Amino acid sequence: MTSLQDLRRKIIQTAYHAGEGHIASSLSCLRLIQVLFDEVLDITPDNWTDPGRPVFVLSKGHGCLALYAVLHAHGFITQQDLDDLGKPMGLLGGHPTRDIPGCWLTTGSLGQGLPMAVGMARARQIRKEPGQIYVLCGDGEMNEGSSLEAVRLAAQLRFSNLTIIIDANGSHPDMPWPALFHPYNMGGTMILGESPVMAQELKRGGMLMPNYLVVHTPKGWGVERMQREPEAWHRRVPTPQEYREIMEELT
Amino acid sequence: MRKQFVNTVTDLLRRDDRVVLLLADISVFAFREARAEFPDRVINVGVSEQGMTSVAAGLARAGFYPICHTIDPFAIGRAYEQIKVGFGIQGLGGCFVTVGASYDYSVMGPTHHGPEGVALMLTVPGMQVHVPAYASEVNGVLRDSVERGSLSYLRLTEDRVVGTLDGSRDGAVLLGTPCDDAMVVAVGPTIRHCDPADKHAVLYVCTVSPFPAAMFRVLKPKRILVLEPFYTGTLTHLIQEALYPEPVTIRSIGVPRDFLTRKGYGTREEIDRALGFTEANVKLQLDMLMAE
Repeated sequence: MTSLQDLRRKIIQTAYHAGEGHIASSLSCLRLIQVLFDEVLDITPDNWTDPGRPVFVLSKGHGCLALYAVLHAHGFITQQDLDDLGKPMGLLGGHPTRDIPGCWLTTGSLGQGLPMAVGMARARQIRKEPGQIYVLCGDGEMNEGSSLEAVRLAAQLRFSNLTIIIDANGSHPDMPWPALFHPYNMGGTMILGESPVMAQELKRGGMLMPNYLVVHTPKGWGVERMQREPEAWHRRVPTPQEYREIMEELT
Repeated sequence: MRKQFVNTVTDLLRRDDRVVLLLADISVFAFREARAEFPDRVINVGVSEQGMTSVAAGLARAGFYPICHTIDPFAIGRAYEQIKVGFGIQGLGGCFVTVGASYDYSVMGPTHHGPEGVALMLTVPGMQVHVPAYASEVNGVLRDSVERGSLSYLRLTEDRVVGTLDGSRDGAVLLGTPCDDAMVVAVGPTIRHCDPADKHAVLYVCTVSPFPAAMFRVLKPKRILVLEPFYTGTLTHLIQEALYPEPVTIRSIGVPRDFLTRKGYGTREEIDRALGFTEANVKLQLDMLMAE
């Protein structure tokens, strides 16, 4: 398994060479995606589309550098794919598409991945098909009315095969998470990003209803200057000197 | 037309277990029997058009064929981006069936009017756009959409025309024999304002996208009067592209680019007359076009 620090380096490297990317938002959700692919999803490039396999949807599509780094570590995409990010004929862009192996849905317009995941969970409920649907949303994204519609709809449809994960990286620090989910009888918990029980919490699932997991992370996690000034690094690529310093910091 | 929609969808639910129907609190009573028969696959999501559309996209991604239904401006205008992202960009199939057309809910006011729906859906690559006049076409479009798994917009209207004409198979039907270089293009229910005995050929169009361009290229009209039951000029560029590089003069009777209630209300029939959707005005506009 690739270490968290190596994955961070891959994100910085990829964004630097492409001259593009939401680095800070990718770093905040990186460990979540790493734990999902390393310990929870149990999918490979050969079986990820098989019926009944767990599904992962990155609703906060701008965090895709984290997804790309993890997909690369698990053999879904190649180093060449990363090198070609944003280039003509390249597979990867600034938001993920469903053309990418391991990526179920094209996302990027916030507030749409969650309701689509609700539809996928409903599909499995109708077919009585196993396999959990994991959807990772940004905390800021939950301001979208369509996200809130999706939470209510998920509660109305009553299925337990949906896990809503929130990367609470401070984009909306005042969101009252329990007040959002509990009126719909959804259970869940809140943990810190470095929590050693993240995998267990992700595997927990709901009983009769979808469950949620709010994970508090710092934007730019692992890179001191980005954690200190996350707004400045929302969609900024390091200069050559900054790149050398950040890569040194991550060594 | 809505009755035909209910009958056909209920039959499709019975025949094909991939079909799911999502309602946004509209036509719920009309589908009560289907809901009782298929509680898993007939879902009233409540008043949440964006949610309905994206949930439908998720169902489509998992192999179902969703049919989404509500009033036109809410299904199309409010959830436009969900249609574009959830279905267009993902390359998924589904059918959006709307009621209300441009101003069927005339007295309800401009929030419930939808003269922009066709123009909006023409901007979604891969979207088929159907504006039927006849109930039988609703049946044909729905069955064809499910069978092909296509992405479709089916705009129902209370202004249905009684008859046996069916443009759902080929998208358009030519009526009469061209005896000069002028032609009337009647879209959907505007066909009722055309006189079949008139000397000019009439092209009845049920399907706006894919546009029946081949018919235009065969007929090669130099002058066209378009009857558009939506914003005027919506089809102009499609006609010009179909006939390029041949020059063509196009005049349109349609919904003006304004909100309809600025000068008061009225029934659908009264608005029709005010906008010039009458047989007499069609003749007058044709005479003027021929005199140009």
